[in-house]
Formats: sequence, C-alpha cells, structure tokens
Amino acid sequence: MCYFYNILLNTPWKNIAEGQRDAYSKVYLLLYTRFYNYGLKFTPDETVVEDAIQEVLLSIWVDRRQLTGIANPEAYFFSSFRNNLFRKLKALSKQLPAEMIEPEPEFARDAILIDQEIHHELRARLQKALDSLTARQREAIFLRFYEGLSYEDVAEALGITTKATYKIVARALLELKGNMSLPLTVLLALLRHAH
Amino acid sequence: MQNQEKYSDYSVRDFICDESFQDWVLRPDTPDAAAWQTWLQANPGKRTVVEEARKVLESLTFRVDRPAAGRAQASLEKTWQMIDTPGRRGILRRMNRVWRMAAMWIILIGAGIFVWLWISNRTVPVLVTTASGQLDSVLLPDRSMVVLNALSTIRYQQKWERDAPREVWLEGEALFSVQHLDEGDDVAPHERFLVHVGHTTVEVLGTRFNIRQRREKIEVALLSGAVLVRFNNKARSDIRMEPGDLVVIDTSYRDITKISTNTENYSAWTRKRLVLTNPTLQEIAHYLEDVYGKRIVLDDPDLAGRKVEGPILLDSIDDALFVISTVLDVTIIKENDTITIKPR
Repeated sequence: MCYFYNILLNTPWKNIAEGQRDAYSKVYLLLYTRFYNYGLKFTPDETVVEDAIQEVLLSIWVDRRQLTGIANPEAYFFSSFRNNLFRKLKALSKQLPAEMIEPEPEFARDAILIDQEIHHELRARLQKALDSLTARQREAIFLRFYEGLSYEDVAEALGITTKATYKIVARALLELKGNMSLPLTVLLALLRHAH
Repeated sequence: MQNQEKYSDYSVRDFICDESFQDWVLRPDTPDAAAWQTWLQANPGKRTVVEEARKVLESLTFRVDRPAAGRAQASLEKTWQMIDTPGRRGILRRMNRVWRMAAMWIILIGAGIFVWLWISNRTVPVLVTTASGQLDSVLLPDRSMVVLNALSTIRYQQKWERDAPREVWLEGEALFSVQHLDEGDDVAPHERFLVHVGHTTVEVLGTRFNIRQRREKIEVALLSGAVLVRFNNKARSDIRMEPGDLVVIDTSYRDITKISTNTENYSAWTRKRLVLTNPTLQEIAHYLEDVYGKRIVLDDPDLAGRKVEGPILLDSIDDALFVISTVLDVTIIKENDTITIKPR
C-alpha cells in the first residue's frame, strides 16, 4: 500500500504547457508505469495497453497548450486512457466469436489481494468479501486506494458522479469491514502480528 | 479535515469511509496529517477505533503489474521521435478521423485496382485435372464449355488475346461446346479454336465434339458443326469432319480411320451414364480402366471377346463389376488398383 506518485504531479502540468521537454518526459515515465498497471487489470494483452498508453501520452504533448484549460489533468488522462483502452478492446473483441465478446472490459477479480501474512481465517473472510465486489467497486477501490486519486478524481476517471463514487467505495469497504468482525482484541493481535 | 467535532462520534465504519481519514492512512504527508495527530491526542478514547479502521484500510493490497525494464523509456523515446518528425504525423493529426479513414480507403482501393489490373493482364495458365471416377465442367475464357472426363487434364491460358487463336491442351477425354465467333467472311485469328492433343491438333469451326485420348489412340467424334483435324507431321493431310464422323488416330499415324457413326454416344459419359450396348468384356475393361484408373487383367484371353448382351450401365465400377460377374459368370478379384477377372 501507499503508492503516491501524484504528489510529484502538481507542478509539471504547467511546465509541460510551457513546452518543457524534461517535465513531459518525467510525467511520461510516471504515467506510463501507472497506466500500464491500471490497463493490465482489464486485459492481459500488454500490446493493446501499451498502444493506448502511447496514444494518450502523445496527446499530452501534442495538445499541451490546452492543458491549462483542464481542471484536473491527472483524472482527465486517467479517464482518457481508460476510454482509449476500452475502445481498443471493443474493436478487438469484434473479431472474436459472438459468445466470447464481453459487454464491457472488467476490472480483474484478482487485482485486489489480501496480505498473505494475515491469519488464514481472517484472510478467507476477506477473500469472500472481495469476491462479492463488483468490477466497478474493485476499480473504484483500486483508483482510490492504490492510485490515491481523490473521490472526485475517481468519479471523473469512471465517468460517474462523486456521490455515486462515495457510495460504491463505501459499500465495498463496509463489505470488507463486515467480514473483519472478529473480536477486536483478537483482530488487533492478528493484524499487529502481521505487520 | 474539516468539522472535527463529528469525529468524536465516529465508529470504525464511519472512519474507513471518510476521505480525509483515508488520506491520512494512505499518505502520511497529507496536509491533514498534523490535524489528525492533534485530534487523536485530544481524543485518546478514539484510539482503538481509529486503529481498527486503519487496519481495515491497510489490509487492502493490490496486484502490481510492472512494465518490463526499459519499456517505458523505449516508449518515451519512440514518442519523442514521433513528435520531432514533422510533417507526416502533423498532417495525420490535423486531418480528422473521417478524412483519415477516407484517405486510407482511397489508398486501399487504389492498391486493389492496381493489383487487379496487374493480375488480369498477366497470362496465367490454368490447369484442370480430374481424378478417378470424377467429371468436371470447365468454362473457357470465351465461354466455351468443356466437360472433362475422369483422369483427364485440360490446360489453357486464363486470358485469351484478342488477336490470337483460342488454344487448349488436352490429355484424356473431353467434350467441347465451342462458342462460334464469326465476325465477317475472313476467319480472324481469334475466331479459331485449337485443341492440341498429343501429336494432333483439332481445329474447331464452331461446334460440339468429343476428343478421347486413351491407350495410344485418339478418337475425335463430331456431334455438330465442323472440325478440322491436323497433324504435327505435315506429311499427313488434314481431315475435315462432318457431324456424325468419328476419326480414330493411333500414335504412329499408321492407322487413321474415319467412320460415320452415332456420335451422340460419345457424349453419353458427360451425363455420367455410360451405356455400352452389346460390348465385349475387353471394351468394358478399357472403359473402366480409363474412367476409374484401375488396371483390369483378363486372366483368360478368351474372356476378352465375350459379350454382354444388351446395354450395360457403367457409372459405378462396383455395380458394373457385379453385373459382369453375374451375366458372364466370372470371378472378380480386387487387389488395390488391379482387378482380375477369371472364368468361374
């Protein structure tokens, strides 16, 4: 846990808009890694993911003069990467036989993990809770807790309202919490032991 | 971290869903961190609840997919290259999607037409071969029809020139229905239709005729129209045929005969209902050999002249052999591609 790149991303947007190549290269490498990780949650096909990354990142430089008009570039590019990737996956799935076409790319079931060192009984409960999450809940949890996007950014990336995002995330978290309801003392002991 | 009072009543569930709290757990350097520290010191009774909420959030772990080493760098370099190559990329980007698609299609269609023209201007030889017991119909470039009998081959150019005679090469047996092209008194080169078979050329003057080249022998049967049979050996004079004529030529030219017969029988095979009337066993054996590619051995020389009285249908080798064995009271032994017929 704790993976916060976006602290780095506060000022570079302005610098890119001004045409600073170094700032762009830095953002490029950073977003490449993040988009790669995000994209592979929807498909194991890294070529498609890399194509989408490259297109979106190229557009940052090409349209750099419009960057200042984007309220939240980070959320904006997460969203445009997601859209770009979904478009590509949809185009690819059209070549598949009808029964193999998925209506919408799904955020991988196994993308959220449970700390292997947690007590096995608790781990089983948490796993059950994770399994009951929808693809959208998993994705929102990932964007909020791995990528560290704010609720507002998550909402923008997913193309839904902030309120809906709160609901989705809260429901998922409470589901997890509900399955952690071992006696608190036991729980704490177990968790502390794990850390 | 606004409205700090509300946190005094917060349960674990409330904390884990609180954005500011989440930020503090996930990101120790959040601007709210100091405020949270202060708040916690002021509310020591909340410590266990906060701790549990923190553990719930911290239990979330994610599968991390990392690009292979150097991949991001390579992609960046490629992108810089694209950015720094002016022109192509710039033009492509300025054109909107629709125009880009249109340009792509124009290029594709253009290339397609080019390839098509190139292919259609080439003279491609066409070879049609039939297997044992199989017939095939071939439509020639001038729309003349050829029905090809079993174990036969026809060869011609896919495209016929305007100013050259139409030519086909035949091995085996075929029935031709030739398009008659007559555009004036003189015979223009492209009005000629030539069938090359072995050492012989049959020149067609618009017409239906059958050519059979089997067993050292060429038979030309004319059903309608007119043909001219010419020989590669110029010492032999041409033979002009009338409908109903059958010309039989052996490989050595020693024996060239022309007889008048019911040449319609020579097209019977095209309907795959080969009927021989009062044939000798030798005649039947030859035909079965030709059409089905089997070797037929007559164990006793006397068998060759034995006759089947009446018509016999030869469109299935098994049926034919069954009829022969019953009618002529002979034994038939099949061994791979050899069929031996013995008196019983």
